[in-house]
Amino acid sequence: MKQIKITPADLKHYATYIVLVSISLGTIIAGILFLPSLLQTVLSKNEQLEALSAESRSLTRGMTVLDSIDTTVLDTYLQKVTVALPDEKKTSGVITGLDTIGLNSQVTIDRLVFSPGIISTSAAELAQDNNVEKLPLGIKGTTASLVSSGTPESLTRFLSNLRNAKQMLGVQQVSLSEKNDQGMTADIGLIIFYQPPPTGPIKWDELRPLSAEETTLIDGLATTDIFTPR
Amino acid sequence: MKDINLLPPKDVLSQQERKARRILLIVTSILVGLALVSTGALLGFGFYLDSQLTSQQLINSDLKTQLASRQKEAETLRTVQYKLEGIDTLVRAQIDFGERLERAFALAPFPIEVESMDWTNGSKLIMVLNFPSRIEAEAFLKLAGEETNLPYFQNIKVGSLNQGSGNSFALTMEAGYVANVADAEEEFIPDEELNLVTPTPTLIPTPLPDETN
Repeated sequence: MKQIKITPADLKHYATYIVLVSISLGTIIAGILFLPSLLQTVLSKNEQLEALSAESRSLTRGMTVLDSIDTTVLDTYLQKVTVALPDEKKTSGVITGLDTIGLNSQVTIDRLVFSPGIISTSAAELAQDNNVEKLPLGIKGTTASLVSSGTPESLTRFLSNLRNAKQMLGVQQVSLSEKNDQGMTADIGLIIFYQPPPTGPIKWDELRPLSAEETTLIDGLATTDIFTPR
Repeated sequence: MKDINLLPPKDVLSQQERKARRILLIVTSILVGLALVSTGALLGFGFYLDSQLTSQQLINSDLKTQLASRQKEAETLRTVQYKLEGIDTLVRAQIDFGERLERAFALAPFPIEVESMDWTNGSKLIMVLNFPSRIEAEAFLKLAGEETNLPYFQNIKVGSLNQGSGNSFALTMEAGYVANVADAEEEFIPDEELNLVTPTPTLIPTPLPDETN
């Protein structure tokens, strides 16, 4: 086997090649090693910036919405909607309220069966309350049964007034039977609604001004006592 | 022995070497240039993004501070909208029993008497009517038979028709209620759902005892 001898003269002759090839290889290796991580860092920063920009847009939108709202009017609106749909199970006022509607409709309330169950707010939150019907949008309802008597006309009026009561009531069923020559007895299944307010952090991008439809709906609500017909 | 030099002449070799070196130099320069440019560009863009991030963080921080002081307003607005959605849902789902009763009573004008009325099963009405004589009973059955006269009631069926004391008749009927007359034709309630009993036709034409006397 022939031995290859590299003499200093050969090295001197090929020095330029060796240097240039080394630089090229070094550049390629450095590029492979560092450029991807550098690119990754830049992309990550870009994502962070996009996220911050989106957050900024959301916050600005929230600020714009709040700027467009009159806080005094908003407080009145809150009062109205809370009357219509209280935050918690309403027990006080139910008997008086139903009596008032009955009186206004010229019917007599003969019997009221109302089982509100747990009425302490904190206890109701903790316990499984079987007296409450759970409905969509976090709406809950307490059922009541009502027996009233009057003429067909007054009972019809009574049912209409219940429907139009300031607090949201639902009539689930009605059974009428003849009482005497002049009157009838109505057995009415009622549900008294309430809705705990939303919880959790505010999503600023979901904040929006009140629409025309919502304002119209609020205008139809009243601020005063709960069971007087609207 | 005589040596023969078969290598190319020196000037030719030098020319080829120069060409090879030039190519290698160009390739190396391109590689280094690309590496420097891309590193520089990435670093530059990185610094730009850093400054943008700092600036954006300051803006967001300022906005958050401002909004924190208006948290209560935002919560009020959210609650109002949430409850309005609930109210709207309930209002749309509310059954107008006042209207139902009014229309059911209209089925039995004086001297017909409503003995009982039951709205316990959705849109199904069960009603017991008392007729003072067969004339009113027949008139009612004729009207009920022509459903076009009673747009709010569909599938009217008579469960029983019993003659009581004297001339009077008690009639049990069931019907499906349609709140929106425009939808009446589309809203078909199947017989099985209503579970109604079809009246026997022999009930109506039977001669009544008082008339034969």
